Amino acid sequence: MRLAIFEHATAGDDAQQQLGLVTSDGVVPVDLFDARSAGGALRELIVHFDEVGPRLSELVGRSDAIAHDDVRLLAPLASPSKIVCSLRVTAKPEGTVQRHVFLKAPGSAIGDGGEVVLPELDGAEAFTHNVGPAVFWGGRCRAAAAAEWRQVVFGYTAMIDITGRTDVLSRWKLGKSALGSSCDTFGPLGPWIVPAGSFDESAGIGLELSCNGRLRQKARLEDLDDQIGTVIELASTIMTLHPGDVVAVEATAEGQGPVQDGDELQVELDQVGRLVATVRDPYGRSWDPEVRVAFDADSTDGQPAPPATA
Amino acid sequence: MKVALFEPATGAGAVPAVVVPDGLVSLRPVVAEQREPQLAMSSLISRFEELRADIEAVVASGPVVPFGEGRLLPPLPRPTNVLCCIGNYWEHVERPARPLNLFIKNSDAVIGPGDEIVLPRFTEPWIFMHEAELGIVMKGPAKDVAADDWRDAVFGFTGVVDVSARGVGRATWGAVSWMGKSFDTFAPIGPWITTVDEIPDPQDLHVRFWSNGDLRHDYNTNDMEHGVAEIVEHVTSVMTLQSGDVIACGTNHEGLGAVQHGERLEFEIEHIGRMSLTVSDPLRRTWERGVYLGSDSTNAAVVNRAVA
Repeated sequence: MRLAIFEHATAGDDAQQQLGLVTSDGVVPVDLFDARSAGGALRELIVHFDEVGPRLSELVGRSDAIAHDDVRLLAPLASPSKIVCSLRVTAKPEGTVQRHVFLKAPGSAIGDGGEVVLPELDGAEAFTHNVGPAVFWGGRCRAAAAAEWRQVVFGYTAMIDITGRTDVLSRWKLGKSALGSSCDTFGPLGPWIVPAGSFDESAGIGLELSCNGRLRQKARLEDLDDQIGTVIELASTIMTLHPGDVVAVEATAEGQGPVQDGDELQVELDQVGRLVATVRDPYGRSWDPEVRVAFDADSTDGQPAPPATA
Repeated sequence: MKVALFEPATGAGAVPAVVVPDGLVSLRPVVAEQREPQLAMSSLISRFEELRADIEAVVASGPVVPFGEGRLLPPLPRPTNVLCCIGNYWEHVERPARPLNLFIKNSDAVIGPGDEIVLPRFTEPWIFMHEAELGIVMKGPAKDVAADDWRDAVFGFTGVVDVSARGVGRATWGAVSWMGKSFDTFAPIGPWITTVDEIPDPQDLHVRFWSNGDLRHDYNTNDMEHGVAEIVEHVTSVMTLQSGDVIACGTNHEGLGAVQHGERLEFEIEHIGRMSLTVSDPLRRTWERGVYLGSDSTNAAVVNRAVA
C-alpha cells in the first residue's frame, strides 16, 4: 500500500491538495475524512488506520484513479506534525560517536519531483545532502524503548536532509544544528508512505542516494536497526511524538557531498520507491562535486565552537 | 487590542476573545468554530484586518465573561514553528555583537496561563532554568520581509518562557542539538497577544519574572543585540513563517534561576500582561534557590566578583 499527498499537475497556485492511494492505474483520492487539509486527513488516517486500513484496499481499481502523469506528488506530511532528524556527534578526544536528534521545520518538506532552492544564507559556504529512512510515528505509545521501535512505526518513506553549512565542518550558523537545515525546500520527503504492514523487510532493505547518476551514499536498513531504535528512544524520551510525526534517521556517515545548481538527487529505497529532487541556486555558486563532508562533521569541537547557551 | 484564546466554562470549544478591563468578550460571532484551537487563532490572525470593524463592534456590545468563568488557553497552542533566539542580549558586556542565530523549539511543548511545567524524569541535565522572553507573533505567510517592513509580517507580541535543561553551568543540555529546550511543557506562552499597534516600541518593554514572589528576570528589551525588525528579516530570509508562528527574542541571562517542584512562577511583560505557572517534578530534585550565580553567570554579582 502506498499513501500519498498530491495535486493535479496542471493546477495552478490554488490547487487542491488531496490524500490519495497510489495504485498501478494511478492515484485514487481518499476522502474518508472530514479534514480541513490533506495533511489533516493523513493524520486522521494514521490515527484510525486499524479500522480504516482494510477499507482502503477497496479503492484499488476504482475508476476515478487519476493517471500518474496528471499528478504532482507533495511531501506526505501530516498536519500538524514535526520532523525529528538524527545526527552524529563525535566526542573528542575519545572519538566515541553519539546519536543526537534535532528539529527540522516542517515547512522545509517538499515532495517527489520538487525543487531544492538554495537561499543566500549569508556566511554559508556549502550546502550538503544527507539521506535516510523516515519513519512515521503511529502513536500507539508515548515513549518507545529502543529494542521495540517497530511497534510505534506507522510507515516508511525516504528523506533527504539538505543542510547549509558555514564550512564543511559546521552547520549554519555557529556550528549548531540551528536553522541551516530548516530553509524552505530543504527536506525532500517521499515519494509516498508505505505502511509497516506492507513493508517487507525479509530480503533486507537497500537505500542509495545518487547525484547526477553517480552513487554517493549507500546503506542497508538491517544494519541500522540499533541506530533507528536509539534515535526513536531518544526523541520520544524528550518529547511526546504524535501520529504522523516524522523521525528521519541518518543512514550513513559517509558520502555526504555538496548540492548545487542543476544537480539531480535521486534516492532509491527498496520497498518504497524513488524520490527525486532537483537543485536550483539563484546565486549561481559552485563547489567541487567531489568534496565530501568529514566523518566528524558535527563533532563537539567543530569550528567555530561557541558556548551552547541561549 | 489584546487577543486571548479562551475555553468557556460552558464547555464550548476554544474561542478567541478580546481582553477588556473586567474580563473577556468572545469573538464567536465573527470567527467560525475550528476543531484545532491553533487554527482558531491563526485564521483570526490571517483575517484580522478585514474583520477589525466587526471585532470592534462585538467588543462594544458583547457580553463580558469574567476571568474566573472559564480558562485561558495558550494563545497559540500549537504553532507550526516556535523559534528562539540564541543569546541576543548584551548583558553589560563590552564586545562586538554576536551573529544572530536561532534554534527550533518543539511546537508540542506549548502550555498556557496557569499551566504546569513538568520536569522530565531524565537525569542527564543537572538543572532546569527559566528564560523569560518577548515573543513575536507572526502574520503569514511571511518570506523575505525587509527589516523596515517588519510590521507587515507581525500580528503582535506575547510572552514566552524558554524553559531550558542545562548540561554544564548554564550551557544548554544536548551539545549541538538544542533538545534541552524541547521537553514537553517547556514552552509556556501567554497570557495573550497584544496587537502590534498597541506596542509603542518593542525595544522598550520591561520584562519581569518571579519565583515564589522573588524577582529573577528584571530587564528591558532595549538591551537586545538584534532587535525585532532584524530578527523578522533574518528568519524570513531562511524560511516561510505562518500566521500564529512565534519567535522568542532571547533572554537577558543575568536573572536566570532554577525552576523546581512546588514553585509558583509569575511572568510579566509591559504592555502585554501577566501570567502564572506552577512547576512539578516527579523526582523532587532540589537546587539552590535564587538567581543562578555560577562562574558563567552574567549577573552583576558574579561579574563584579570576578573583577575583584
